[in-house]
Amino acid sequence: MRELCGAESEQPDPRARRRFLRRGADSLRFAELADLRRRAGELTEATALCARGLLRYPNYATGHVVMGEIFYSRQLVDKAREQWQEALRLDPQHPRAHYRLAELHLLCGERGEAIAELESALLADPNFAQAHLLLTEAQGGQPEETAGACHGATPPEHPHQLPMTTARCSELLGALQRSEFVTSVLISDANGLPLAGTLSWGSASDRADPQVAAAVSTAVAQESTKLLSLLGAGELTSVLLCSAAGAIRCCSLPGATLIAELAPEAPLGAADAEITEAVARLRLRGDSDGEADEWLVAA
Amino acid sequence: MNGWLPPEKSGLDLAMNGLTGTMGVLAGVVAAEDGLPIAVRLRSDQNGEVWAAAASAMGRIGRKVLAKLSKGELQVGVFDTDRYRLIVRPISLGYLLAVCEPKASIGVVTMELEAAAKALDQSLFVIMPRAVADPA
Repeated sequence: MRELCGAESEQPDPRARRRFLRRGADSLRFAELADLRRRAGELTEATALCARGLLRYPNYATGHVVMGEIFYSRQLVDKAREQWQEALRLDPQHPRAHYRLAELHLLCGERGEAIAELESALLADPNFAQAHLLLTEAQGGQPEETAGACHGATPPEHPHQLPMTTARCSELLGALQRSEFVTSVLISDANGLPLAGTLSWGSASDRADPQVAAAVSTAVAQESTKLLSLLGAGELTSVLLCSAAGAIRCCSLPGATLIAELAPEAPLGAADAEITEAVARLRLRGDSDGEADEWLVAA
Repeated sequence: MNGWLPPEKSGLDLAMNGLTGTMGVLAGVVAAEDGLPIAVRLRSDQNGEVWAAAASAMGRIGRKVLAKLSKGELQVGVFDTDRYRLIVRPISLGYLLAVCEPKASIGVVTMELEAAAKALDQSLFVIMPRAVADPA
């Protein structure tokens, strides 16, 4: 990436640059290369390069984001929107796709939708400076009642999107602390900050700091989600890591991550099933009790 | 290229065949530390190179996390998605990955991975003794 930035700013030998572009054209770097072409105004080449890349890697969300940007540069707004929506279908937390859609919404005067997209972008990447700026701008002329609706007053459409409130954290902690296989549980928010629970493994001297554990569990969930989505292996639901000292399980929750330590002698399958069930119960909390029980029995 | 196969190679084959013959296992991949495929057994039309890269990336994530949490060395990592259960185990040369159906038994597949890893380490030691003895 540094090499690419350098290539853009230092104007290297054009032949060397072309060789560099050719070398990466068949790899996942096609998106960056196509983006470079777009910035250089070579829109036809950028389109061809990105289209070829997407044929090879159709599940690469960033590729669709770049394709959308190329279409946007060519003033094909509808096609751009389709590409960004496809990117979000592949990676629902892709900050740049959310950001681009927010820009489109703002252009169409749809401030509420734009704010929602920007909030999603910032949830995925809290350090996304451009999104912060655009959000401030979008909120500038916002009527109060509409702004409130975009800040969480609107109920989520699906129980899987229920945010991790304190009550839900306590419910999940309670359920898992009753388990004979789980020795400690920690829940962290999307930014890697501890929300609830604590960790108890190791001696007092080598015990993992909850702040570190929360950050690490969030990072592993986000990194693995991106990796598996990139590979077209589906949406990550959990990660189980075993060592001689025991096992830990990281599990993606709506806007949060759960990290549970399993007892060293715990049967992995049974322990895993208990955590899955506790998380499923929580996720189904928005449904009626009858439906939840039916779903759990079927599962 | 003259049709002769060293006995070590058949050991590698046996290990991989044993793994992919397990119920629920769709593919077995041996990947080097850097993600290059060493051996690949696929049941369906899948990209072995992609799985090899995934094995290496997942193994590294697992190792990094356990190290940060002072939990020792990674033995097995299980990555569940809505489409697959991916079970990765470090071996001397890199990582061994089993691509499984979502409901595959962790215990059974882990046991098979263990056996395959031992067989692989033995056969790879014969082929590349220095690399196996000193993976770093």
